[in-house]
Amino acid sequence: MKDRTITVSVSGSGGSGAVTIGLVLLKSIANVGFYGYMSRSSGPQIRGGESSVILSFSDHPIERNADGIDLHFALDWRGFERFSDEIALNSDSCVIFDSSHDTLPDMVAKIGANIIEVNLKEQVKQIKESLPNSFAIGILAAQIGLPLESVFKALQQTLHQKDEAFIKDTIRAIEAGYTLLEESPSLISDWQPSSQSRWNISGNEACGLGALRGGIRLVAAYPITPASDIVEYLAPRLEKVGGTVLIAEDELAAMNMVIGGSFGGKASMTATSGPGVSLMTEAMGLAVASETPALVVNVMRGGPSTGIPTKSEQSDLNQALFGMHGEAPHIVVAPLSIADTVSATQWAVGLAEAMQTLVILLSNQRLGQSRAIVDAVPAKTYELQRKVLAEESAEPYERYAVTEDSISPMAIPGNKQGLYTAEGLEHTDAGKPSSMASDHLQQLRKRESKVAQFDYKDEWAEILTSGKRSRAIVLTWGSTFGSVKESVMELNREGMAIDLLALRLLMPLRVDAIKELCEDKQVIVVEQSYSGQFYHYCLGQGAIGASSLSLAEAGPLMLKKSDIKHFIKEALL
Amino acid sequence: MRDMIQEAFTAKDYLSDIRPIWCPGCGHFFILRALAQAFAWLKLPNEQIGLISGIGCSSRIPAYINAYGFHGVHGRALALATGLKAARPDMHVVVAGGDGDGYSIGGNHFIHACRRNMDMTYIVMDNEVYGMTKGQPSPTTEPDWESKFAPHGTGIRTFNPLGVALASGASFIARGFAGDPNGLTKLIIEAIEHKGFSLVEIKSPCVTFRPDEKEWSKTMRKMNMVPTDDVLEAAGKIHGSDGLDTGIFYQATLPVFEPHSTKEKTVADFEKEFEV
Repeated sequence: MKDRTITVSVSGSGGSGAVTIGLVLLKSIANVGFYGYMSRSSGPQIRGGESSVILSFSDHPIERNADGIDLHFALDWRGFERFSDEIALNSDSCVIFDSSHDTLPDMVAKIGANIIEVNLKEQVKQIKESLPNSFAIGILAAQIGLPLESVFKALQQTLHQKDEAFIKDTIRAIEAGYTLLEESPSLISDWQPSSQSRWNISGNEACGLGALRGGIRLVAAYPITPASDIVEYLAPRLEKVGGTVLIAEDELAAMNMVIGGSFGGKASMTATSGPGVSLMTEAMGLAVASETPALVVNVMRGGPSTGIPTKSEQSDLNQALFGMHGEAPHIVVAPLSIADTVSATQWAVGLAEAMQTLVILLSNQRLGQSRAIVDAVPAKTYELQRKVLAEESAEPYERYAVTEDSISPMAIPGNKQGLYTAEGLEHTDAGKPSSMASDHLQQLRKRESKVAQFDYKDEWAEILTSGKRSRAIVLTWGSTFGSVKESVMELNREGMAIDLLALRLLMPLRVDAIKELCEDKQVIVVEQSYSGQFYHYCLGQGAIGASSLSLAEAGPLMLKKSDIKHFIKEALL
Repeated sequence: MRDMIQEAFTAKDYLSDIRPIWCPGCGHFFILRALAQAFAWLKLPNEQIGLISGIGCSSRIPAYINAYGFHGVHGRALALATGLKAARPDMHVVVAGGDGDGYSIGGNHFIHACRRNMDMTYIVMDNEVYGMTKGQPSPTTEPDWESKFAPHGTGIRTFNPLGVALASGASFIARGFAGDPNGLTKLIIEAIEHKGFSLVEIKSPCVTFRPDEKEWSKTMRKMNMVPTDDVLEAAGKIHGSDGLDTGIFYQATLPVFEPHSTKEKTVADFEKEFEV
C-alpha cells in the first residue's frame, strides 16, 4: 500500500460470482477516476469449477498484480488450494470469508492474517432476490473506500440486460454489505483521480482492436484457449467494417485461409495458441516462401502438448523463432502490456503487409485474458502498406523480382497486368518453379534482406534509462515487462542506477542496437520460461555477452517484483 | 459476330507457356486442355480466375494456366481457396489436385468445403496413385495393388469421394474421364456455372506407375449418368456405380455460404465501447 496500490482477490466455487465481483469492482474504481488491473484464474472445469480474480488498484496506470494480497474475499473455500500459489496471502492480509458454507481451512489459518467472518446465508434471507456476491461487493467496496454511487454505476454497466427487480434487490444487497462490517478507513482517500480519458479493456480485446486499426479484413480461426476471445471480439465487429471471420475446420485450414484471403488482397490474420501454431507451421512457411502477408497471433499458454491451457507462460518463443523448416525469415513481435497490445497488433499487421511476409505476434494468457483500466490508446499512423502492382502497369510482370528494398509489388487478383502463380516451391523471379542453386540463393537473399534492411524505427523496443551511468541493464520481453519495469524503477528510486530494455521486435533481433545499450553493463535477462529461451537466443545471436545473467522462471505464476529486485541486487553485489 | 467472339476466346488464351512436368501420355494433359477450353467457352476474364492447388503431379496445374494461381502446401488447397473466395467473392475460384492431396492429407478440408458449399469448383485428377513420389498407394487405390510401399497391397478399402461429397453437403457431384475430352469440358463448364461447391472427380490414368489404367479408355462409360437433385436417388447411383460411370450424379440448389459484410460502422465506433 506504500506505493498507493491495493490488491484485492476474490475466490469461490463455480457460479459463486467471483468474476462478476471483480468486473464490478474494476468498473467502480474506474468510475472514481483511478486505474486497475484484473487477472483471472480458473480451474479446468467447463462450468462449476473454482474461479478467482486478483485486482490491483492504483491512482496511476497499473498493469500487474502486486506481490501480496491486501484484501481477500472467499465466497467459499472449495478448491481454494488450487489458487493458493497465485493468491499469496500473508500476515498483513485481511481475509473475509462467508462462514455459512465452511470453516476456515488450516492452510489459511496458519498464515496469521486478519480474519473476518461474515454469514452471507443469513443476509441473503433478508432480501428476496439477492445473491451472496452482491453483499460481498458491498463489503469489499466499503473496505476499499469506494463510494456507493460508483459501485451502482458499475453495476448498471455490468448487468444491463438483467431485469429491474433483480437490479433493485442487488442494490439493496450491496448497500447492506456496505454497512455490515465496522467502518474502516478508506484505502484510497489520498489518491488523485485521473483526468485522462480511460478505457476498460482486456488484452485480447486490445489485440482485436489493433487488428481493426491495422486494417485486417479476414480472420480465419479454430477455437482454442486462451485465444478465442480475440475471435469472439472480432466476429460481430469485423463484418460491420467490411470484413469476414471464417470458422476453420482446424488450424491447418485457418492458416491456409489466411493466406488465401491475403492473396486476394485483404489483410488477413488468425489467432491461436501454441498447439494451434504447431499445426499451422507448414503453411506459415508457405506465407514466407510465397511472400504473402499473414499475421499469426499466438496467445501463449503453458506447454508442451496440451500443457496448461488456462494459464500463462512465455515458452513458445523458440517455436515462434525457429519453428519452420528451411530458411524462413519472418517477423516476431510481442506486446509489452494490455495497452501496448493495441498498437503492437496494429504495427504487426502493417509489418506483414509492408514486407509481404509472416508476422507472429506473441501475447500470452496473462496479457490476453487480464483486463485493465488504461489511458485511452490513440490510433497510430505507421505508414505501412502493401506494395501493389499498378492496374496500368505496362512492364512484363515478375512477381518475385529482386528490387532495391527486396520487396516486389504484389499483383492483386483482378489486375489484368499481373497474372501470376504464387509459389511455395522455390522459384525464379518470375515465379516459375525452380530447383536451381542460383534461383534458390537469389530468392533466399531477397526474403532475408527485405526483413533485415527494413526500418523498424523506434517501435522495436521500450528503453528506460536511469539518467545516470547505469551499472546494469535488464533485458526482457512481453508480459513480464510490467513487473520488471516496476522493479527497475523502484531500484532506481532506492539509488541503484539500472536501465531497462524491453523488446517488442524479437525477430529480426536488433543485435547492434542491443549491444550498444548493454555495453559495459551487467546484463540481466528476465523471462517466463523454464529453460531461459530468450536468454539463450540473445546469447546465441551475440546481442549479449557470456557474463550476462538469466532470471528465467517457468509459468504459470507471475514473476514477483520482490524476486526480480532480489535477483538484480544479488547480481550487483 | 459469333465467330469473332469464338476467336477472342480460345483454349490458347488460357494456357501459359510453361511446359508441364507430366509424363508423355499422362491423363492430366487432357484435363488441362479441357479446363482451358471450359474457361474459353465461359469467356472468363483471365484475371478473374483463381486456380488454387496443393502438392502432387496434378497440383502443378496453376503454372500452366494463364490466370491468378496459388501452388500451396500439400492437402490444403481447398482451405486456401476458401480464404480467397471469402475475401474476393467476385473471383471464379477453381481448385485442382490429386487423389492423395484431396482425399488423404486434405480429407478434412474436403469434407468441410463440401459442407460450406461455397461457390467454387473442385477438380480432382484421380489416378489412384501417388505419382510425384513414385508410385505409392492412395486412398482410391485398390486394396490389393502391390507396391514397394505396400508389398501386399494396402488391404484397405477404397475411398468413395462422391459418396463423401454427397454426405457432406456438396451441391454438384460429377465424375469425368480424362479420355473423354468433350464430355469433360462440358462437365467442367457445368461445374463452374453451378452456384455452390461442385466436385468434378476425374479418372486420369497414370501411364508410368499405373499402366493398367490405360484400360480405362475401354471400360469407362462416357457421360452415361443423368443428374438428379434427389439425395437418396443420388446416393443409390453413387453407391451403385462400379466407378466407371461418368456424368453428373447429383446437382441441387443448396444454401451457399457467402459471408455478408457491411460497412455500417467504423473502427472509431468500436473504440467508444471501451470508454469508462
